[in-house]
Amino acid sequence: MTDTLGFSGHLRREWRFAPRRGPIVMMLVGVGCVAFNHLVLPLFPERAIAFMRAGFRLEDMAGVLALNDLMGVYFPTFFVGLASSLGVVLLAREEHRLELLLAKPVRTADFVAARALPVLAWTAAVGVGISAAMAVALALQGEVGRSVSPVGALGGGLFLTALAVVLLAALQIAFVRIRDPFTGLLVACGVWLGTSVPTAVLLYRPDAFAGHPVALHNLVMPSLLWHEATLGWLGPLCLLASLPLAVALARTAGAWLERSDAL
Amino acid sequence: MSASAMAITVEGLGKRFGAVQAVDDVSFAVEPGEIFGFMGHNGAGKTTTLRILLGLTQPTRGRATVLGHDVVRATLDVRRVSGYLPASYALPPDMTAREFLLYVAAMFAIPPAQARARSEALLRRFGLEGAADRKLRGFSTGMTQKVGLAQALINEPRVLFLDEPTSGLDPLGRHELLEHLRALSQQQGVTVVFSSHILSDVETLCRRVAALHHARLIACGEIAALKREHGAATMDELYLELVRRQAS
Amino acid sequence: MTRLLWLDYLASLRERKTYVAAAMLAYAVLAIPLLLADPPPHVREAIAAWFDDGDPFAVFMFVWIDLVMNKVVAFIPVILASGVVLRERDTGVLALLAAKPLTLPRYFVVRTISACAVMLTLYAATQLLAAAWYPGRVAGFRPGAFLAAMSLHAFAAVFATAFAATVIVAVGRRGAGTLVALMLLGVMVGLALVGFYQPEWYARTLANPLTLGALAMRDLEHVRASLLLPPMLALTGLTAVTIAVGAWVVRKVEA
Repeated sequence: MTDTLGFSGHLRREWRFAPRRGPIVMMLVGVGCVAFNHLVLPLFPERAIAFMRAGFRLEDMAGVLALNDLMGVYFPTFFVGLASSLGVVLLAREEHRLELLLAKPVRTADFVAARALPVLAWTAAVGVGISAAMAVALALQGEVGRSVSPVGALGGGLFLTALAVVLLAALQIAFVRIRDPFTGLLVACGVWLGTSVPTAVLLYRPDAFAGHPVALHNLVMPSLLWHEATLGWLGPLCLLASLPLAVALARTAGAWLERSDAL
Repeated sequence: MSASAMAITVEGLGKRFGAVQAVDDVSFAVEPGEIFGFMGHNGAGKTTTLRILLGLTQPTRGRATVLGHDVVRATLDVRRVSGYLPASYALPPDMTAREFLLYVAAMFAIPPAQARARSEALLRRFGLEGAADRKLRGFSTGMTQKVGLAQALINEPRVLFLDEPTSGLDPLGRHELLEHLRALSQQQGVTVVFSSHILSDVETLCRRVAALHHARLIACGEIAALKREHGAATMDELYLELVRRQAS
Repeated sequence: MTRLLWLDYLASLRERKTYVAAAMLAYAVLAIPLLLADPPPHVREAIAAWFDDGDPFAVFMFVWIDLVMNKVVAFIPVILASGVVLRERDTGVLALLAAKPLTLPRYFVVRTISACAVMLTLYAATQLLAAAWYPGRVAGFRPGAFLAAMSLHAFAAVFATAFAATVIVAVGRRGAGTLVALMLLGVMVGLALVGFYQPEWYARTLANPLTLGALAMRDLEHVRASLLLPPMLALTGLTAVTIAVGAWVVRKVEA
């Protein structure tokens, strides 16, 4: 007779096997993107900068740089997390590993949460690393303007990191019901693009937000910079809150997997 | 029978993966149209030998031919005349059985009309007509194995390599499969290399066997003669005696 | 090989991911007229300056290429190509297929061309739907110029599919390979139109295949063969070289 591991035991086991190289490489890539932005964007003609400033209601070059940096946080963070997240249920099922693992004395909810949490923690680490690089870059380039402080930029980056973590955890619920990893990947890409659509609408149809200030201030990415003072404390708080929320979502996915014939 | 008349010849074949000697100085020959047993414990080198014969793995020494085609220099010629059912495989989940057979037929450049006729015949032969348009995703082990065997026969091979084909099958499925193989050999003259560690299956089907143990060939010949030579009444006794003798 | 390619193409077309991709593209076609109903002055002015063209059609084409089709080219090719060979290996299907009289490099070529063909089908259907839907809904829309310009961009989409297949096989693992392909294509997309914003960099940006795909934007008034053919040829060559590299790299994959 063997003992049954608790959740923390499963988590420790999964943590040892969680992919590390990808997140570390992606963090370096993200830091490289931030450096690239800060070196190249100032070389753009004034008209291109003015276009971004007017379109996204940014006060100065600091805002333009920070907005591009935020994309440099959100894209790699979300997609490195997605690449690892696919392995939690989808790829494991396709490669016939899932039923092997679930036949062991482990509750499905614990199993999915224990597999998802290290992935999400590394995702968060990538976002934190790139956000920190963004704050340092802004601090080093004081001459670009004062509309966004390094702390505010860091907060914006951490907020997007939290968003990526929660979205990826929520996607596990969808992945339980999707058999084909490519469909899962496509759905995840759709989700990521969906979160970017309001920002595109702001650029091309700002009138769509007329009379809808709540939507404007909650859905478009530049609002993270418009409220940078608030984001200075809200961003870290959201990131802290995102981890237990992500665990709850992953457990929900596991519970759903247990109830369904998804194997 | 002269070497050139043999369906398969294997001479001093060896394969090393780093520090592991997977196949060591193995030699044997298989006559045309016979069902040749290939037995040994898990990891004895059976699968590696079959993979070498199909050109899926390069030997580190020795040579082998299949119907006169060198397995290293004329890999594609070997595959053109061969069918293969590996021990571990999966079917594409999004295709139906019929689509998959047509797909495999296209890999042999079989003309479409002929491919359709052959796939329909194979679906009938394995009792898969009713499931032919269902996605392979939901197939049972037995049905999967039938599709696996059907795809190995789509090119009407003259040599069939089967790696543990009966493992996972229920007694009825196993009996049907063995009957199919016997019919292939007797009616169509197909040479079958039947690799298995289920010795009763080997005895049921084969006249001659090769036994591998720890990468080396420890016996090769007619089952009846080997039994006589080693004083064994059953295949299990024969195999154990061969292994014991090797160990001593 | 043609028959195999055709069967592979048909099987890929019937996969659920293809339907999901088609639905996303149809949504994009339907949403763009809403997005472009009333572009603000700073958008019109900036695009008029970059492309030396004050026509509302130039604004539409900028948005269509930059916001829609370049994003499509960054994502959908990766999804279509991420299963080439590696999925078969990981699920065990390759154990069966590798024993057929088709070398792994040739199998890679078949699967990649099939993925490219699926991409091209989705792409062409999207442009045809747009050409039928947009007259009267998008200001200044010119179906002929639109289809001509997008026919060049289609070559970039095909290149992106071949590129994704090669990168993923080169990386050797599906998840990591998909991520690397997404990142590389994301960078190409991000820099695709930089040469238009900063003319000093224009010549250098021609090294980016996705810039080549957008070159019709240079002169939307006179989209002609002499404008389209050189980048089409360049993209065809790049695609062929990319597939050849993938076929060379795939030899390391163990069935």
